[in-house]
Amino acid sequence: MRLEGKLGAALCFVVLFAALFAPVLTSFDPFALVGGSLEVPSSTHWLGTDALGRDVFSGVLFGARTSLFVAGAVSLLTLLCGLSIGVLGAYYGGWIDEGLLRLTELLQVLPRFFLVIVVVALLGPGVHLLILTLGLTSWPVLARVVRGDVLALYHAEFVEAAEASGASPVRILVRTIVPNVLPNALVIVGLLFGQVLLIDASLGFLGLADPNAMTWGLLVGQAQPLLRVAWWMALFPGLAITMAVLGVNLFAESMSRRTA
Amino acid sequence: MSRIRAKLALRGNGTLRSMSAHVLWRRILMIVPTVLGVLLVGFLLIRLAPGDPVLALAGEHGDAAYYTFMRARFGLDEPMATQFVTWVRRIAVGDLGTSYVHGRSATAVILERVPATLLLTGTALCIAIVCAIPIGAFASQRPYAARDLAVSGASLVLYSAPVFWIGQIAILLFALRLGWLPVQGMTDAGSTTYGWPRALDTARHLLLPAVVLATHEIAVLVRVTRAGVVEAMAREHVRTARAKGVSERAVLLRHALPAALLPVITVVGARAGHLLSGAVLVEVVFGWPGMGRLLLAALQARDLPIIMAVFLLTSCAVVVVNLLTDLAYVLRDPRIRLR
Repeated sequence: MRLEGKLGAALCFVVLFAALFAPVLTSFDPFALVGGSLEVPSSTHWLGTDALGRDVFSGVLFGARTSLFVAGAVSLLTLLCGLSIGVLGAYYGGWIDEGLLRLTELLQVLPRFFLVIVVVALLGPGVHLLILTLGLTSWPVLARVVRGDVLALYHAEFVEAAEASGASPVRILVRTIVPNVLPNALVIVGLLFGQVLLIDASLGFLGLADPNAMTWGLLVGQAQPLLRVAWWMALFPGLAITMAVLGVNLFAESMSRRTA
Repeated sequence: MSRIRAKLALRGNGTLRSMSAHVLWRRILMIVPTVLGVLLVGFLLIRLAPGDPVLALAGEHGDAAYYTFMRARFGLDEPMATQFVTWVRRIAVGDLGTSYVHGRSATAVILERVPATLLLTGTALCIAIVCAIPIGAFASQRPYAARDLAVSGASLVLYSAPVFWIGQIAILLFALRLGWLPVQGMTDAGSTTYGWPRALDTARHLLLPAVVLATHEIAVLVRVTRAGVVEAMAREHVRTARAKGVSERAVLLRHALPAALLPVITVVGARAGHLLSGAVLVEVVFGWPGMGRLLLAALQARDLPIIMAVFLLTSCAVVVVNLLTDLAYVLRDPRIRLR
């Protein structure tokens, strides 16, 4: 692995570590009022406190949990949708393929950010709804790549060999084709993971995230009216988002070099 | 049939134009089903929302006969398909409902805000293109050398940072710490100037948000330009040009860069949705009085007609930009035929 891949993996590890061991790394509850209002970073409150006296450091740690959970769940859902839709379209062809392609094109045009905003406005904020909306609309790029890969693979010799040896179509799909499509698909899902982190943060920034969960976007959003007085409230949560997204992007990119 | 015509068309310039016209018309007509699809998504979302609209209209204490009357009065007893057609018809004439907060047509409220958003996004896009192409070309000259790694690394970091946070850091640094530029707004508070002084004032307020909005686009376009030039440099027409003794500078500017610009066009078009969602966030950070600020206020007041109108408008804008991208593509490179 080259330097960028190592750097990406290290960043991902730091963020994952913070999310997993948040309760161990800080003794403060992210929602509890534990200090004075707007305290500058100090030895007790490493990243300062917000207007209500809540610890920013524990907010950043616990925010990692929500953000990673959302992005992970969306990525998983996208992988499932994209793989099955891409494989189905390429395998059956005909009107099924045509219909799926039209659907793919439509979803590719829909601006996801605005779609999520409408969904939140109509149906209320919530982590599960957010995951469902993003997961069910983020698969077009993946489905297209998978479809292309499957079509290309169908004429590969080892697939013909599997056919000649009497393997059933389902077995060929699952055992022969999908494993060969997966590396490319995972790179795309990796890049998507970063995008979802950013969309999730943007929603939190606008105050549209689940009010019961601590998120990075929420923290940066709370900093907005206090920019003049509390720079630390904006700086550190945003830095955390950037680190996480950068880590995932670097890692996915180094993977893509490998599979290419 | 169309394929035969396309083949024939390649023989003469006049017929080439007619083939392009045929292909272009097909592409233009393709936006009809897409727009209908967008409208369908909007319609289904409204239908999915909890709460019976009749209860909202007639109150919860009416009797069954009154509810039936209200249902018929507002067409809520019609089949879904008929309701959808009615809805599409209303939108087609620009009727997006009445804003709960403003008490006026949602279309009118939004159209007032569109110019500010267009000014911001347009400026950002210009800044992005003007900065990104030279930087990308600069990085491509020595692939994997120090300058290339620095440019690629910087663009990846910019791409990974949330745009609203870049905005906040820019305010902290350039407006609050250094005092070079104003913090927020479109003009100085209480400013009553007209003409050039006002344009200058607006430009001063525009600079920081536009640059911030441009950062993600710059990051993406630098990478696309770099990759495109590196690829073009390895192609045969570039080798021919070099063999003829064309200077390195002319090879880049006349032969490699033009070939690399096609993917740049595609990416600019494909990122229209990103640019608009970025604009919403940047407007909120910088207090820029465009659609984004309006959307945030509408969200806080649950002003659904405005929210739905912004969604439909941005979706249609993306559809139109995609169309324009494809058209630009054909104009730029007549070899490309649409499906």
